[in-house]
Amino acid sequence: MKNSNSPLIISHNHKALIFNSVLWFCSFIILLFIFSEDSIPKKIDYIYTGSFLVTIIIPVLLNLYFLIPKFLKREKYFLFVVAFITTIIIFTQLNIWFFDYFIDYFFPDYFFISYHSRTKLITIFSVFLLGTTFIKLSIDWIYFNKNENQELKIKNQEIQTQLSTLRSQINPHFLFNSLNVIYALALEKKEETTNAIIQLSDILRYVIYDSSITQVPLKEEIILLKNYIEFQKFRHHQSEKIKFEVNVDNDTYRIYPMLLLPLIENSFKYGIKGDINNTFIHINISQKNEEFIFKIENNYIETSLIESNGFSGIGLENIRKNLEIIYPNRHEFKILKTEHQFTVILKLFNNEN
Amino acid sequence: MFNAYKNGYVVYFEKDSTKSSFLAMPFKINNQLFLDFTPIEDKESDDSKNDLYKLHLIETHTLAKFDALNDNEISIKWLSSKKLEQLLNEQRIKIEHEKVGFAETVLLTASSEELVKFIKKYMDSKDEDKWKTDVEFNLKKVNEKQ
Repeated sequence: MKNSNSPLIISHNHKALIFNSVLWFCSFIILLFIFSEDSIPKKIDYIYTGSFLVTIIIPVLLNLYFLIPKFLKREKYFLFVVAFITTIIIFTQLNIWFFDYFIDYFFPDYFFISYHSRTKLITIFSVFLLGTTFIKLSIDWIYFNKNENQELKIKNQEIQTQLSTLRSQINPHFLFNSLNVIYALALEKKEETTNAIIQLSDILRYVIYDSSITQVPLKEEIILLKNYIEFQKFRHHQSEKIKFEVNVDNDTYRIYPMLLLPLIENSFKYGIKGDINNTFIHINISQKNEEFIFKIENNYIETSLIESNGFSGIGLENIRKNLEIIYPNRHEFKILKTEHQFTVILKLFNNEN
Repeated sequence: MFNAYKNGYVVYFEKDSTKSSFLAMPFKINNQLFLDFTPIEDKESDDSKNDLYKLHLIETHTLAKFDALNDNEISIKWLSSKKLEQLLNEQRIKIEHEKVGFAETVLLTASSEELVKFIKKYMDSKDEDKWKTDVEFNLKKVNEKQ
């Protein structure tokens, strides 16, 4: 952990070193020419400017590395303003004392004095402290944005990974159920077995290749569902009780792939299987303007409810997670239960709710 | 006007049959008495120069250190312009100044506050020759009756 942080600390210190080097070099040059009063700077001007800069560097560093992080960035604005003004007043006075008294200890051969009035010094110190505060905040803002972009990229990658994981959770379920269907057909040695395998092949092709795309045209998703329903009919012999209605204005409307299949899959699993006498599945897909509505109703009995709360727990949870990621604030997911009927309604919107 | 100069002295100086007058304003820096000398109207001197010449002249202030040596004797030492030039040439002093005229005479143009601060520093310096000067007077009190 320590090792992994070290490059960041070095990089941060390195940037602070570069920032301060550039800042104080530029400040020195500017002050040198101001204090030299338009003449070529002499040795005494270099000494005076350097000494003057020292009296500014201390409060500026104090502001940049203590007042700003401790008060300003923690939203303690009043404390920051008080500390900021106090710093200016104290260090202005220290500058006066430094040039009136203390500088003689460092440069006894020179006769330096405090040349500037208190008002002028307060102005100079204020300009430096305010200027460097704005520069520091601007640089921090740039880094903050950069980091935020990086975090967004990482988050996006995480979402993609999560979606991929969710898909990989769907596929085995689907395959498992499908193989059960073919197995049942094979046991009965039915002619439809080969057709069922071809249909399963089409479905799997879609699942393997097309479902890796972010969004697919609605018509392709509908073909998948039709294939799946036809495939399930081989097994259940209740085709008259399975209704699949499609009312789509724009079949190029794009949808997240494999979103609806688990809902139909579970209806077959817990509906038809659950109650042989009163079995039914009604599926309705409608798309108008920018609104997409998927509704599925099936029968169910308490045994299936006890088994997994009326619905496959994993399937339901996966759909919820998927919707939160791919349609954040742009979907409505309702599960309605009556005594003998289980209904799921999914609405997708193009705009946020 | 009167209030501004009421603590001042008018100083007359006679030399080689010439006579000039000055206003000397006393002030203290760190308990040391100084006199701020300014020339005042000198009709005799003024008459010897024409108007155009006088247009180029400006009255300046000079600084003199004042010491009472005893009850009857005082010392007045002017701050040496040579010493000042030497400090400026050696770049040991940073103070606003101009060099004026053909002789490039040093004229300090700093504010009074800055000059006082400089004098304070100069007084504290360890330079033994800091008050050595070409212009100094040791004056004794004379009996007015004589």
